[in-house]
Order: sequence, then C-alpha cells, then structure tokens
Amino acid sequence: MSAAAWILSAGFGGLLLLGMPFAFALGLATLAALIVSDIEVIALAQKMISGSQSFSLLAIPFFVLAGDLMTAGGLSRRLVGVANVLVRHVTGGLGMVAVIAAIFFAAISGSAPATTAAIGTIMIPEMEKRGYDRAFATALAVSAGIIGPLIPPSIPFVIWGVIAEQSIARLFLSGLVPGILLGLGLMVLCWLYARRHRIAGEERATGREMRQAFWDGKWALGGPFIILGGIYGGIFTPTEAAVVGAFYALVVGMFVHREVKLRDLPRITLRSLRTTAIVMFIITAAAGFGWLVAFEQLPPKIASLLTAVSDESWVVLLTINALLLLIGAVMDNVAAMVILGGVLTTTGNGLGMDPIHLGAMVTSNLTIGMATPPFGYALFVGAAVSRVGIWEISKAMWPMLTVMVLVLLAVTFVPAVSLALQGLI
Amino acid sequence: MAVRLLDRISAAAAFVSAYVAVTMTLVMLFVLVAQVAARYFFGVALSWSEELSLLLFTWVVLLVGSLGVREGFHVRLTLIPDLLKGGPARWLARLIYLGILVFGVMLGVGGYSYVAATVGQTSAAIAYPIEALHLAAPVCGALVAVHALSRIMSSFDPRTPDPALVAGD
Repeated sequence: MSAAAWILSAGFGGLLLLGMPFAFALGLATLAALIVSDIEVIALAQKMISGSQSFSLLAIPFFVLAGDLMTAGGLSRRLVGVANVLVRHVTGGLGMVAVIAAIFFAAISGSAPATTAAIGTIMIPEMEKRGYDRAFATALAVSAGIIGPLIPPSIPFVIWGVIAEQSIARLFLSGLVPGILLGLGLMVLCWLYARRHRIAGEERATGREMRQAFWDGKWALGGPFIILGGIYGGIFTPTEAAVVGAFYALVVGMFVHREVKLRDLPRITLRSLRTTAIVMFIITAAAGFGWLVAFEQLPPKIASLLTAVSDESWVVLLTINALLLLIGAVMDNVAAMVILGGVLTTTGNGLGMDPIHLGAMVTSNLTIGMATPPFGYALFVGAAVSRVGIWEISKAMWPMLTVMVLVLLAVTFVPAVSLALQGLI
Repeated sequence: MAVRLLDRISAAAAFVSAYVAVTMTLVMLFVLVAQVAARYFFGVALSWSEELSLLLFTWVVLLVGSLGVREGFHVRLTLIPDLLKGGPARWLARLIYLGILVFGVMLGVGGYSYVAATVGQTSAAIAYPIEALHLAAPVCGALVAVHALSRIMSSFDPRTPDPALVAGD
C-alpha cells in the first residue's frame, strides 16, 4: 500500500478512535494524503465546495426542517391521535400506536432521529403510565425511528442516490415494503410484550372519537399525499418535495394550528440546520477523501477481496451485511456510506445485483446502525427523551434488533421486497 | 485577557454565522417554493432558482459546520475519551481541537488560493461572480480555526464556560 493509502485507512481510523469528529477526521486524512501525494491543498477547498453543490443533497435540510416543523406545529401530535383511535383497543395497542404514528410521520420526514424524537416525546411517558417498562418504551421509540428513513421520503436514500448515481425516487420506493415489514414486526413484539406483562388494551374508540381524531389530523395526514403524490405523480423532484413538505408544515403550524409563531422560526430553523450540518459537513469533507480513495484504486482492490470470500454470492452478501452491521454500530451511517460507496457499488456490480436492490440493502443495513450501540443517533435521541441509559435501552432492544435483522435478510435475499413496487413508476 | 477576547470573537462569529445561515435557509425555502409554484401554476421554469439555492446551500453548510466546532455538535466516537478523566482527558480534547485548528488553517489557506485561482469566472445560469461561491471555503476555514483556537485557549482558563455545554435550545 502507498503512504496515502495508509493515511486514508489506518490514519483515518486512528483519528476516529482518538475521538476526532468524523467530518474532521475525513478532512485531516484527506489533507495529509494530499500532502504526501504531492497534490496542492487547494484540492481540499475545491472538493468541499463541489461536494455541497448538489441539488439532490439540498433535500436534506428541508426534510429535517419539515420534521421539526411538524413537531413544533402540532402535526406529529395529531398523527399520534389518529393512530391512537385506530389500534389502542388491541392487546399491546399503545405500543402499536407509536409504530403506526411513526409510519405516518415517516411519510413526510425522512430521518430516524427526528422520528424517534417526535414519537418518543409523546409516547414514552404515555406507555409508561399504562404499565410498559420505560426501557421497553424507549427501545420501541428508537426502533420505530428506523422506519423513518425506510418509508419514503428518506435522507439516507438521498445520500446513497447521490453516491451511487441512482434515481432517488426509485430508491425511496425500494424502502416502502421493508419499512412496513419492520412496522408489522414491531407491532407483533408489542402484542407479545403486552400479553406477557398482562397489559390490557385500552377502551375501543367510539365512532365520534374516530371522526374527531381524523378531523383534527386531516392536515397532518394530507402531508404524505402532497409529498409522495408530488414525487410519484411527476409534479416535483425529491428536493422540491422536501421544500414543499417544509413549507406545508410551516403553513399548517402557523396559520391552521397556530402553534408556531413567527418568532419561533429562527430557533426551529437553526435546530434543523445543526442536524443538517452534522450530515452535510461529513459529506463535503468526504468529497476529497472519496476522490483520493478512488485515485488510489482502493475500491476495486477491497471489492475483489470481498468477492473472493466465497464462490457463492449468498455467502458474499451475508459477509457484506455482517461487516456493514459492525461498521454501522461504531460509525456514523453517512460517513460509512460515503467512505464505502465505491467499494459497495463495485462489489454489487461484480455480483450482478440490481443497483436499486443494492441501495435498499446498504441503506437498510446502515440505517439499523442508528439504533445499535455504542454509536446510534436514534439511540442517543431516545436516551435523551426518556433519560434511560444507553445500555439499559440496548438490553431492551434485542427483540427489536432481531426483527430489524430479519427485515434486512428479507431485503438482501428476496429482491422482490425492494423491487416489486418499481413497476409503479 | 487574550483568552476572553478570543472567546468573544468566537461567540460573535458564531452568532452571526447562525443568523446568516437561518436567513439564507428561509430564502432558499421561499425561492424553491416559488420555483415549484411558477412551474406548476404558470408553466414557467425559473432559470435562476436552483443555482441561487445551491450557492446559499454551500454557505449554509460551511457556516453551520464551523458553528459545530464551537458548540461541539459534530458527531464523534467517544469510546477512548470516555475512559479518560481529569488531565489526560483535557489534553486529549486539546489535541483534537489542535487537529481541527490545523484543518481550519489549511482550508483557509487552500481556500484563499482557490478563490485567487478562479477569480473572474462566473456561474453558469445567473453569471454571478464565482468568488461568491468559492469564498465560502476560506471563510469556513477561518471560522473553524477561530473557534478551535478559542476552545484550546479557554480550556486553560477555568472562568470561560464551555459553549458545548451551554449550546442548544
């Protein structure tokens, strides 16, 4: 290996272990590799600028803002209200309310931590009141958060679409069935949990309550139709959908529900921008890194190592998934995507995988990483909301993680799970 | 004295970056809503809206990214830092900020050369001077450097509160 290759692998890893933020570890490794390769450091600035000049990535701040405005404007609460009248009477119903509300929320927002925050803030205290263990309730909110990026729209799919140069609208659609499967699996867990702990369902909602909840939630429920209808009706691009979603949540929150005031807007926007900057600063810093990695021809080398694991493609896929789950557990999912994008697309091509199927597999896998200890955003958000320790939540997460891995295996080995709906567009 | 002054400069720069970025984001929001509305309702394709939004996007990302150095919100692995306490923990934190400082300075210097090398060019659609975009790199580098240096200096002075602990809303 060349000196630059050592810096980009071992040097970068060392910086991460010391606690250097991902974005700066990428930037510093790029810088050092540029210097030893005798390339002018001007390239760092150039790549950082060009890395952010992507109209597709512009969807990220607006999907985050849409989620934050939905919560601030009372849309999330009304979605929970609708889910509540639908399933609260079933055994484990309150847990199912959290899952169904997450599915609704996921159809406007595309972020796991935002989904966990929106659902967890409302549902964790409610579930605890009705006899659910706080750690279980938190683990459920964290896991329901993972539905956020699976059901379209989705921030990780936007990023993978840019990295792998694939249609974002198609990638979005590939996550719909996996997202619903995960939701169903989590609902089964709620039912089992409630049975085991003898938690009875709530009183069935009356027709009047049903009508009231749907009437209150009509604007919130309209959001998914506008966004998904807009994308798949060919009216707007995913980025425009994000913008329209944020604008819609703003208008409803300000003028219909009257829960967002004009003076709140800078604070809410800045909060969304912090979330955006965490993701985008990694992507811009990684632009130079990815360029150097390709220059060193590392992706084909690593890809050939991966495909040499076995002659059977299912063994290779299983190995890749196991590696990605490990990487996702200790690494930021965006950083993992941008660093490994070249290796994964080369390997996928080598195995003759459909690129949308590959995208669904990689994205679902790394999205699970957001819920796994020690490094998972959704986990951190859940812990912050419920004030339960990371390890305690992690212990309660095992059943949910098992469901996630089963969904991942279905995505990996049954191409129809991600591809069946592709005929619709 | 110098420590307090640097902390104030860093705080002021953070405040300005934050509100410039918020304004830019709201402008992007309205410009892109106008783009969709113009096309859907009037059948008019705006030629400038995407380019203007992308210009603002780069600035927003780099400004708020630099803010993250002061507020400490950039994500990182804390397995090793969590094992340390007291002196070693503080020195590791300083070492990390030193790395960030080096990055900031190099981005500033490289960014300045980049602006100098491309000055006079214009963007494709609106034909704005390309410096308006490329300047984001050296400005971000300088801001990152100021915030990192301020963090290092403040860590030697117990009177300056750690903004990473008071930031957020």
